[in-house]
Amino acid sequence: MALLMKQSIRPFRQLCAVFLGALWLISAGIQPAAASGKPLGEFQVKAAFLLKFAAFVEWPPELVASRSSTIRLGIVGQDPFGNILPPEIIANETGGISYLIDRLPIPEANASGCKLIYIGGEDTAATASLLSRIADQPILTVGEGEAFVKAGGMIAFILENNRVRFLINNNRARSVKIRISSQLLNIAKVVIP
Amino acid sequence: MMIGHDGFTTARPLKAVQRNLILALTAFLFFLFQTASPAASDTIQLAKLSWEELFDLEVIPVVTSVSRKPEKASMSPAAVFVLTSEDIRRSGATSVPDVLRLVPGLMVSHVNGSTWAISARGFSSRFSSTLLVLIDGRSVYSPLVSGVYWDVQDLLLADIERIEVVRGPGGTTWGANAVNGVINIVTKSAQATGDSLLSLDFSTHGETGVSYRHGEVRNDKQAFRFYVKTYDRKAFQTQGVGLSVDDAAQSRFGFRADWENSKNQRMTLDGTVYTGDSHECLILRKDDGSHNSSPGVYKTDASGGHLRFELTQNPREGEELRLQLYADRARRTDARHEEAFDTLDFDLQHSFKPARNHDFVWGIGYRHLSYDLNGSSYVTFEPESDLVTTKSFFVQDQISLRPRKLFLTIGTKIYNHPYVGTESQPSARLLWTPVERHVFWTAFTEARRIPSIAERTEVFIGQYRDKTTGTLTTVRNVGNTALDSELMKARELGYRFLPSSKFSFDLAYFRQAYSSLAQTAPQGPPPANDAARLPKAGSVNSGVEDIHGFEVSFQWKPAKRFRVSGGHTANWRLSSSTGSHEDLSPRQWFIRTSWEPARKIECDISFKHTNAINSHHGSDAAVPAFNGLDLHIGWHPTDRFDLEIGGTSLLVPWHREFPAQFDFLPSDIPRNYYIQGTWHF
Repeated sequence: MALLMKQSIRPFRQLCAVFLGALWLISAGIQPAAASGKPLGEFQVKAAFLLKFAAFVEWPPELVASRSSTIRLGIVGQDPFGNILPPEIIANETGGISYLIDRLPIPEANASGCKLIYIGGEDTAATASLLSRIADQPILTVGEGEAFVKAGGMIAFILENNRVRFLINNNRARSVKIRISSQLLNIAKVVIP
Repeated sequence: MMIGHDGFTTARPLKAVQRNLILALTAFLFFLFQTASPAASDTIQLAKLSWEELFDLEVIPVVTSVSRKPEKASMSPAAVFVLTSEDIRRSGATSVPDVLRLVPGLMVSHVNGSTWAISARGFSSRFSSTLLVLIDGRSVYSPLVSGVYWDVQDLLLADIERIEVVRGPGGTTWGANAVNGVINIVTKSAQATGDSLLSLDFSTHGETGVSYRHGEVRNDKQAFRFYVKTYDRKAFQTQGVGLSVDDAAQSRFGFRADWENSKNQRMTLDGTVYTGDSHECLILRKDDGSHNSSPGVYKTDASGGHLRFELTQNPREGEELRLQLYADRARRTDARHEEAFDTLDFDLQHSFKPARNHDFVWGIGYRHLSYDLNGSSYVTFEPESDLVTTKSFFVQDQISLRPRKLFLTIGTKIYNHPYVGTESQPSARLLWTPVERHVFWTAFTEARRIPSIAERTEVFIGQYRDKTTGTLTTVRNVGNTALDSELMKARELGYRFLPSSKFSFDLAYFRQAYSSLAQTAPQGPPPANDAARLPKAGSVNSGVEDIHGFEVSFQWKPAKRFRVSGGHTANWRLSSSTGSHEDLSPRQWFIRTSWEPARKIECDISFKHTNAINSHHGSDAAVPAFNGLDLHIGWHPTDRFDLEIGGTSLLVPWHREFPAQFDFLPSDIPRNYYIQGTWHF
């Protein structure tokens, strides 16, 4: 015990060496193929959720038949994603689903070509009016916070303990014949039946 | 009340500083040019992860302490650290000060059973005079002693959402006394605590307590909770006395209700009441200069409570109006004095975007404080009661000079305080992200500390150390009502490296120049009417200090169930006129590992080294260097039950964290083992 008390009088240089070593190891390990190479931004994780939702959702059959397997994903209003979401994502990158990503201004958003839209921003009035405008269309609507599902959105992101979770308003989805898989419903934080 | 004026320095040769800086700079340059892969491909990689893995990803925590509006901690132009509720749970701590030991750059010293000294960037005293502490926006800083009574700043730790700690000045947004730092404790919304819990904890040399919380979510618009918590803290052995008397006991009740009136309007009402008592070992000096030859055991009774109301309104996108009202009452009786403080505080804050690249916040505040003090044969106060009203205004603009890359934050706080008149605390902060994952920031700030009521009005027998000869003289310390506020000008430089969600690195360098520091000075021969014939002394604004230092920390998660974090803090005096003023905090470094060997088991090991605090007037260290090893094991067999066991300061049977000061005898802090069980229902 006495030995331990006397040691580590010059800890900074040793620590520095450890830091440098650790930093070098880590930065050397950053490769696009490795899952470790991602910044820990909130919207980076949310973007990944957005791209995963489609595999767990069935749109009405007439819609599926009328279009190719490419999903048009609309980012409506304020765009928090920037270059996190490129304009186009091809199937082999995501395991089966291709995406075309459109940025749409909120007031006159023509979302009818989209199967999936994300409505960001804090303009709750504009969000509500857009949601009511497309209420009868089979578009999976994703937004932010509990207020979004209450305003008629289908999936809302929330943060819990600095981790991304989501709420689902299944009623809204079913009313336009969108079927959300039970797997997704099971892992949602709250489901409004 | 008197906080000894013995001084201790931990000066280091400047050469070592330069070498360290060069090393750090090399590290910067090396990693700055290690650019990373494009963000888009990261998204696609992320999308290949399973839901479970995605749920496990931690995103950057949000803080509000720096600019009073939510922003990412990593994008704050200040030295900020966030403790999450999970960090708090896994610390095994049962009190707020012990939780704060996890924060890199904070110096937490357990002084005796119920007293802690907490400081950042130097100047550690029993009451750290330059750290502002807020619980849900309510100041718990005592204007009497210019510090925090940590023993009564307690709450149910499971109700804390996060603790934001800003090292360095926060005066522009939070007002006076946020000179060396701000600690902002944010509790969970009642919506987030919908369950009830019962928690029992037992420890061999610390706290044994019971807590119960009842939480209820009425519907998606209304929720409330209340808790009761009671504990007994075992006595530690007082340094050099051989008595174990500083036990403590406290009970408290608290509640919080949150409701949503409409989509754009939310309200919160919370409150607490507490009562407790504790003991401590003191050598008291009577008014005639005589003192008891042996220390006595004295009791402290403390009680109080608060009621707070908050209303938040979002009239339109990007605009927020926040109104807060609180009433706070604190009563305390100890061997020397009796105090009663009643505070009424009003705070209004409005944030909006006047133009695309501007984030504007302004606010007004009004605080009405009335106090009543009663002295004893040891101290007296002149006057004994007063009304103190403070008016304040702050304004701040965050300008995005280049979207997502360069931000300038400028602002100032102007307040009017009856002790010091009208003063301002301006600041300018710049944040620059030249390449993704590399964040640089710099800040130029001014902050002030308003003299405490004790410094202005307290008369007591103290000791004055002559800084050239080192001799101690017993003096009659008389309050100085003409005392001005202390001024600190800070320059800070920071760098963050965030290569991935698995690693982050944070470095801050600061240089802080203090002027008009209050220090004790002789004020001439004893007055004719003084029977004890003691020379007079009092506080004057004559102190000057120039300090600099750095804080570095990292977090690394090499595997899904394994995390390592560490940090190092050091500071040096460049120049000082105060020689025997209060102490700088010693160097510290720590390393902590968090590991989940199995699904429901957590294992945390923490090692912390604290350098010796040197004695100013002798060869022996006032407090020897200390190596602390803490261990925590958590077991969560079901969703409804948590078991935590662990030990603190495991390497030695006892250690010291704080030096003895002339009338005040700290305790030896023993090794401690604890067990805690929590049931959720």
